[in-house]
Amino acid sequence: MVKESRERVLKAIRKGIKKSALLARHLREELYGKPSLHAIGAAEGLAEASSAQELISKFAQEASYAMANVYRARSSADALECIARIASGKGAKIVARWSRGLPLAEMIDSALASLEVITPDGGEWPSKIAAADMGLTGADFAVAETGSIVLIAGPGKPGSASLLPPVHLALVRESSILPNLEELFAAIRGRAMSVLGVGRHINIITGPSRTGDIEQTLTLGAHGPKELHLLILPDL
Amino acid sequence: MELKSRYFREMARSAIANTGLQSALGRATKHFNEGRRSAFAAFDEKDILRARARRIKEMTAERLDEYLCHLEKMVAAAGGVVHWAQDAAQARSILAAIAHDSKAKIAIKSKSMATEEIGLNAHLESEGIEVVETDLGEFIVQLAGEPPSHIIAPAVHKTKEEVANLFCDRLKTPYTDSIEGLAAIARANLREKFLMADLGISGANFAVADTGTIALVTNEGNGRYVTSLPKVHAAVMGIEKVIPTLDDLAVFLKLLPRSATGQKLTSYTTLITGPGGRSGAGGPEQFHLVLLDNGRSEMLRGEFREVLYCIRCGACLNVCPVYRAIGGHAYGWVYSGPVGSVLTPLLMGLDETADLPRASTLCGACREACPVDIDIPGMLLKLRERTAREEVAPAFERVFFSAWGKLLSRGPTYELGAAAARLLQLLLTWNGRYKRLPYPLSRWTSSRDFPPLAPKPFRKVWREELSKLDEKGK
Repeated sequence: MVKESRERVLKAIRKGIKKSALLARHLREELYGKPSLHAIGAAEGLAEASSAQELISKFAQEASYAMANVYRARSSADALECIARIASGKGAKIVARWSRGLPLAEMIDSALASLEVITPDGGEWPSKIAAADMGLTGADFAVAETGSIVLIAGPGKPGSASLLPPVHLALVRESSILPNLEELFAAIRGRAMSVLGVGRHINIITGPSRTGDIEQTLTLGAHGPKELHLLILPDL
Repeated sequence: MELKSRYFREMARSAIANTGLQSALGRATKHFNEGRRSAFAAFDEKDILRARARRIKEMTAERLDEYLCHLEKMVAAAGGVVHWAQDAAQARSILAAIAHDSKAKIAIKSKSMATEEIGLNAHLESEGIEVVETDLGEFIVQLAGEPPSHIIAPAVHKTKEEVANLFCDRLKTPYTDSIEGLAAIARANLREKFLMADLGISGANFAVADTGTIALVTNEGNGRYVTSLPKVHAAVMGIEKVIPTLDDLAVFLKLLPRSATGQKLTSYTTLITGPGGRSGAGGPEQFHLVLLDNGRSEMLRGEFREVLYCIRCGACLNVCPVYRAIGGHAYGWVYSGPVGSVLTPLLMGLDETADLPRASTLCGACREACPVDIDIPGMLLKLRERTAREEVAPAFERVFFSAWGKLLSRGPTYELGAAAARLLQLLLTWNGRYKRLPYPLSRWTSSRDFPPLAPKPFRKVWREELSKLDEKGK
């Protein structure tokens, strides 16, 4: 039955299209023969030659516009102090952090010594993640054009850290900030999918969770985190 | 979902009389339109992008079978399973089988128009599976026992007081009409279900053939829960949603959120390639992609192919003067607004849906707003043409138009008729305008004046001007 449906659907589709090799080639040429959009007067005023500082500023600006809170740290001491301040500011008791892909991971535990810090490697993650007050992750990439961070789920980097707790704090390395979506996809294509060849969940996160479903009035924290904090730090 | 389009006229009339609905629609569409306009105002590449998006869809449609087969191959390589459903019934039984195989008792769903189209919820419930809609708007209409009334904002027709009463009544929570309070109630209520569910069912905004990836564009985060927490994830997707490459996805990601809600990107753009659990990150152990035909391959064939390019952004709904007056329920089915007036007749037949393509002023606002430049007005006209060919018009119309045609096609009778009309005009007009005319023209004049014939017919003006020119020329 399964195979039959497949054949019937394909047959119905083929009936609907008159395949012209010439037309197909023409359309392909038109689409892919030209340089991709981001090479032509790039998106949102970001030329290819944008300096690192411009990228960072643009990223910070767009992320704020999308209602994330953005901070910049100049050193690891700076960053740790910021993390501790945010955690205590939120009255966090349980912090759920990534064990891989998180800058300053070992030092974070001492900075948050007065709190309970859980990681996916310790066995308590499944039982405690739903009660965590803050999720602490890195970011595999960031996109300046839209102010987004990109999180690729993997061992030690579960998606739940950026989804279940009401506050999500992500550490974003300056060097991970890409200009636009096209660059992002070029980087992802090279890395996440083909290299490992297994199922991958990638989340492009732009601001905190929100809904406008009741009277088009924006409310943050619909199901995902109500607050998104982004801490930009230099490569350490 | 049951087709109720044959009641279109009554439903439209009662919608227009419903003042609560009128203000909700006015507010919602204004909000969406402003968002869309400002998002695109800052965006120089809009027209290039729109043209490119259209081309991508055209090219994909030309080789839809190849792209679908490639998609299937890549999804399978990533550990997923692809199912092909010819029609709604097949899709329902495929999903029921997936549910039974995984021994699911609770299925959580993120918003999917395709699953509404096939009537999935009712079917699963009849098979003993509890189905929970997790998108806040869908959650609200599910509690209210209503269908969604807008492609991207299912509860657009409800005021916060109505939602407050609904929650109080159905969820037994204390009354609050603070929107934050209501969202918090929904969040707490649904959170329990998220953690208990065995099966997650989602739609897919796009599927990338190159990499076997589906893309979900959401704001609330429920889409992430649905596709990552339960052991089994099933995505239902119309066959027309496949696109070739990730670069093509970038084009659509730049258009869809801006057209829908005025955002550059929604809070969560989730890219799923196979079952996430296999990568050791935790996540579903099974990923199923159900490809839904249900009449779409038929649309490929003819003059309506371009409706398959629709990316379900809802922009056409928000600019349509008809939608803004009557809301989504009046259309009687899953897809409303301009695109719904094309899709519903094509998917369900014209017998009961002929009023939908008629309910349009052909103003073309939908086409202008469409990020893929779909010629909706053109297709509405073609549908009207089909109706006209198949239907027998009422006797009065037949006689009238046949006489009218004969009158207009002969010079002398035309001139005579026009002279007689001018005489009558003296009798029937007030201050040079027709304010009231006898039935059936009273249906026109009840709400606007009927324009009068010009004091001097153009033919005369033409002749006079020509002769003046001739004199000058001499």
